[in-house]
This record gives sequence, structure tokens and C-alpha cells, in this order.
Amino acid sequence: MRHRMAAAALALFGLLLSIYLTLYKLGFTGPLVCGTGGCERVQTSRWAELFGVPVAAYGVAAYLALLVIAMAGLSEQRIADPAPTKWLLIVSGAGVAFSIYLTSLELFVIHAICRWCVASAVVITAIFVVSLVGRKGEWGVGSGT
Amino acid sequence: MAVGRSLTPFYIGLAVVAVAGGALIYRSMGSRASAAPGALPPPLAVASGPRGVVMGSDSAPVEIAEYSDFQCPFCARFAVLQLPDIRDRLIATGRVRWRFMNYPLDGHPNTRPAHLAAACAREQGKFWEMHDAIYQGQGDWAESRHPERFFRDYAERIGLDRGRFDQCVDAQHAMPDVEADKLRGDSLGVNSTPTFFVNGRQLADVPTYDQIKAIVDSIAPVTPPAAAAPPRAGAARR
Repeated sequence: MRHRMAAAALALFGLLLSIYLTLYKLGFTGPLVCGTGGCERVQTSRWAELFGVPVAAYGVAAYLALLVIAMAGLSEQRIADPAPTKWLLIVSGAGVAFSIYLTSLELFVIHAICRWCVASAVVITAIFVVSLVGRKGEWGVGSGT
Repeated sequence: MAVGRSLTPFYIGLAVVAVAGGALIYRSMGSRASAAPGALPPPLAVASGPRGVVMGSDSAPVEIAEYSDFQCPFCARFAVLQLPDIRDRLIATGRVRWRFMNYPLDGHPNTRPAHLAAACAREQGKFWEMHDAIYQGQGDWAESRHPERFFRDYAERIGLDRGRFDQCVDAQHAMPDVEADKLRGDSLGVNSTPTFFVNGRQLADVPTYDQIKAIVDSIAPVTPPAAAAPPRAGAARR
């Protein structure tokens, strides 16, 4: 249960982060509070959009999905069901892979680091890790699927 | 029910975080207007003489000052359709010295970032390249919520040092020069753009190349100087 609570809290944090970056990309906020200037450079680069949609918006969708899954997994009906943890693992795993791709772009192509993007990468990795730990715990009690 | 009760503090904590985070994001949305370069207060210093950015020979017999706003569509039309001919046939031949005077209109929310971008390009000797890019792209950035993104693209396209450009834009230290030009225009009675002064005399309308050539011919009918100086992109203020 604790890993789902941790995943829910982290997903909420990631969701807020992604909403902030998406609103910036859509022009609803002022300059990003960044400190290094790298955030603006990354967010105004052509890699900040994918198929015409801000990359951060994909983050909103992913974190929202993770939050819903984690919260559903905390309900009485699902608390003993291993499926939510499996889905947390799948979605966050995809998020980690996407974050590795984005961070590589920042390091080797754009040559600028966006702290908010790094924070998001850390959050999604943390969700993946806690989900993995939770999944192992569920396997440990013989309830794996 | 035991699970539900034990999770209540957790749900409350999540709700608090959600509300606090939402409030912070909402606050950042409110900062948009105050963060825009256009929101800067006007400088206290008033230019006493001609400023702006000059292109052309010091010895040219005719000086034309153009008070222009980067978001003004008439200015863009003039810059795209008339100025290239003027540049090639009158400025490059040493007959005219052109003085671009910043005159950002208050009703144009994106114009001050544009003037700032041009002023920052000037610091790297590429004012006119940025001038052209801004006017040619006016339709793209004029209604944008983030016009500065276009200006950064232009900066890269015209080969500016992006780091220096970003630093200049962020610091906004070139804005007082822009506002000083505007105050100079105000003192001359400029209230619309583009407004032209030929050797200090204001033109009533927006001229075409042919009209400007006729004016120049009437002022300096003699043959152009044999050794005409080339146009000086981003020449020093005076």
C-alpha cells in the first residue's frame, strides 16, 4: 500500500510540474523560474513539441494516469489487487524511457539543461522505482499476476 | 473501512499539495503581464538629439529619419516593399543616410520585445538583419503570446551569438535607448507610424520609393558622389 501512496504523491507532484511547463509552452505564464536560462532554451527548442503537442502535455497525461491508477489502487476494492502496481510499473517505465530520450536531447543536442525537466525525470524514475519495489513485495507474498 | 480511515490524512495531504501547487501555477500565470519587457516603465532620460540606428554615408546630402514600430503593419509593408529599393539605389549610392528611430506604440503589446530584440542584435552589429527578419516575420509573432521565441529564432538565423543575445534580452538594458527614441519622436509631434523626416522636415504620408527618389532628386539634383560609402549595418548611434 505504501508504494501506491508514494506513487500517488509523486504523480501529483509530477502532474503539477507538467501543468506548469505546458501552460508556459502554451503561453499562459511568464518566463520560467529557472535560474540558469536553460529552461527557456529547452522549452523554446523544436524538441519541446512532439506531433504538434507540447512534450509537457504528454507528461500531464502520463502523470494524471499514474495518479488515477495509484489512487484506484488505494481503494478498498483494489488494495489487494496487484494490477494497479503492474500498470504503475508499465506507465512509469515508459515515462522513464521517454525521459532518458529527452534528457539526452538536452545534453547532446540542445546543450542546455532545463531543471524542471530534470525534476520531472527524477519524479518519474522515483515512481518507477517505488512501483518496482512494490511489485517485488507483491510477488513476495505470492500475489503476482 | 479501516483502510479508508487510515488513508484520510494522506488524502488531506494530497489535497493540500494540489491546492498549493495550483495556487503557485495560478500565480505564475498572473506574472505574465508584469514579466513582459513591454511592461517596463519608461526611462527618465530624454534624448536631446538624433539617435536611432544609422545606415549610409556620413556625407550623404539627404538624411531620412523613419519613426517606426515593429508591430505596425504599415511599417512592415514599407520595410518589405520600399526599403530594399531605397537601400540599393539611394543609400548604397551615398545619396541618402537612413536613420531608423524606434517608436513602439503603446497599443501593440509585442512591439517592445521586438524593439528590444533589434537593439540587442545591434549590439552585435546586426541590427538591420534583425530589422528585416522582424518585419518579414511580423505576421508570425505579432499575435503570439511568446513573441520572444520568434526573435530567438531570428537571432540564430542571422548568426548572432545566442548567449549574448539572450543575456541582452534578459537584462533589457537596451530598452532605455528604445524609449529615448520614442520620447524624441514625441517631442517632434510623432503620433503614428511610420513617420518620416527628410532633412528634418516631416512628410505627410508614407512615401513610395519613387516619391522618396523624387524628393532626394529635388534636394540633391547633382550627380551622386563618385566614391559612395557602402551602407553601414548597425552603425553607431549619434
